[in-house]
Amino acid sequence: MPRFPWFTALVLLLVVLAAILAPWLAPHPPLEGDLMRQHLPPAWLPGGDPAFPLGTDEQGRDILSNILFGLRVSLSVGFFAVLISVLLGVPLGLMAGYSRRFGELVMRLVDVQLSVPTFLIALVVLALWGAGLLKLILVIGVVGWAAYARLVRGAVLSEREREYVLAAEALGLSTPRVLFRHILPNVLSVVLVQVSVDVPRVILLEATLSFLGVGVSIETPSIGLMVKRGMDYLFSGVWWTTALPGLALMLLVLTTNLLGDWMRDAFDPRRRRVNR
Amino acid sequence: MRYFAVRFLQMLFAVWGVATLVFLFLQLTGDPMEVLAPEDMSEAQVAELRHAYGLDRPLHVRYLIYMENLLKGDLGVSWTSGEPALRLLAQRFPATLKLVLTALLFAIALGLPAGVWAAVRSDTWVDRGLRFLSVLGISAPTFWIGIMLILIFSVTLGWLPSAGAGNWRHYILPGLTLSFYRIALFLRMIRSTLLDVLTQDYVRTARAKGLAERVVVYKHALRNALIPFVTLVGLQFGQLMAGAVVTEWIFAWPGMNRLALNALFTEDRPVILAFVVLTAGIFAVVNFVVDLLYGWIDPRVRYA
Repeated sequence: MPRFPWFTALVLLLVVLAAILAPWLAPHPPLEGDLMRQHLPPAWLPGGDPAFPLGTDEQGRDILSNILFGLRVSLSVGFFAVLISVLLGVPLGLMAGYSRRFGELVMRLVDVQLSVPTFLIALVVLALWGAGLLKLILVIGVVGWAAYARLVRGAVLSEREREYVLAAEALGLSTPRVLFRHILPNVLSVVLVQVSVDVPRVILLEATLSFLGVGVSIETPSIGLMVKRGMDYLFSGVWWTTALPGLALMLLVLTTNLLGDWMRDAFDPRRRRVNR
Repeated sequence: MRYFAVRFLQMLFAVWGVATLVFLFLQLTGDPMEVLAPEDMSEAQVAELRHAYGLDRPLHVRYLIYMENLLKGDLGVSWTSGEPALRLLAQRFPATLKLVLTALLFAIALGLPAGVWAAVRSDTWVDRGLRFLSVLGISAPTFWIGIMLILIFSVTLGWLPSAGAGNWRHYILPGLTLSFYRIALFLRMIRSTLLDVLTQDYVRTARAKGLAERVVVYKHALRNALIPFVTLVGLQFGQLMAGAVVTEWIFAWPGMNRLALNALFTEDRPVILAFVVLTAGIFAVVNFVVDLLYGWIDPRVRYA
């Protein structure tokens, strides 16, 4: 098994903790502005104020506090949306792998679903339905089912031929029991690997949709929204309202991806040989 | 031949499914009269307008009309400009295509050699450095990359334009923004397939014959690693055609994704509908062609 990336895991843990503890850690309420202190630069630059370590935005809101609360939104979308996808996709995939007829039907639906990029579906649905955190989680979560269904079906199809399944069937165990007690634990590693790819993808998706203005509502602190607002002031020399939130988000996604890479190597014996 | 027919039917089914779902979804999202009718319009006038757009007919009738028109290539008329939705999109199509091809070119030109380099130098500092850069590449939000490029090359250095499409200089920043993720993706993919191929028996044979490492890597191994790579490039082409929304938005690119985004904000439903159906169509056809190519290059796929 490849070496566990301790440093990456530690950084990720810190970012996650900072996001969870945002209400206690943030120096200011994220949405509290003051036009007297708009566009303060980060504290280490001339004109900066130590009370606002990463500066303020066009309404005088503290960037650091907004980043912390924004990461909270990113993480909740990443967690809950993927959870919905798994809860929908895995059972459907299990059943599709077991019943030939049902499997064909599910696979055709998967084809339809996957013939439009996730981003596009989320964009259209949210633009017409209105922005909002819960809607966003629901839409991304529901749209994500197809990848899991396809993956699990494929895994079940190959597991079915294995002796332990044949033995369980020969013993006369009921189909749901064979599926959930015997096959499911053995296809979980594929699911976990897919989750490790999906969480960072979904986090980026939320940020992108919010950046376009269709993600979370404007009263929600969000990295994407912050960058969107900061974009209007690029040519006035204000770089911290766009650069710093994006950097924080990248740190979260980067560590998640690195941990996912480790998981993929650890679970896949074929890759283990190649990557060492 | 059978494989071809099955895949073709699957593709048609997928496009039909998407067209139906978008149609139904648009019916669910409220009364179009809220957008179409001015606020001071009387009840009778609204009813007249509804009739003029054919919106007073039952759902299944409208669906059948929609399907018939779809087969004729008619996807309705834009509510804001009054022009056929499909023509509006078609006018903007070349700009998007050019941007996407530029991005693919950047991604291949940078990602492919970097991936080969990382694989050849596997487990050295070169490899570790490139791998880290590639994870960085897939972790950076595209919109943020675009804005950082503008900050550096337009605002600070003043070297490149940050908006619009004119001469070749306008292609560099949006092209890089759009390709950033793909450079990293291609690097990762080429590296891992090449490493996989390099452990195969025929590579060992080639090495045992005393061939130069250069010949082994480029003539024997890389050729086989390129088969899945071609598939990936094809699939990414489909993804990019619909994934250029953010890039076109940031750089004010006159492409069809920007048009569609504007249509979304103004609730110009015929244009939205046409855009989704067109994109799904492009996506499905590209995937179909890639599948066929793959089946042609590697016959084992056809029997799977």
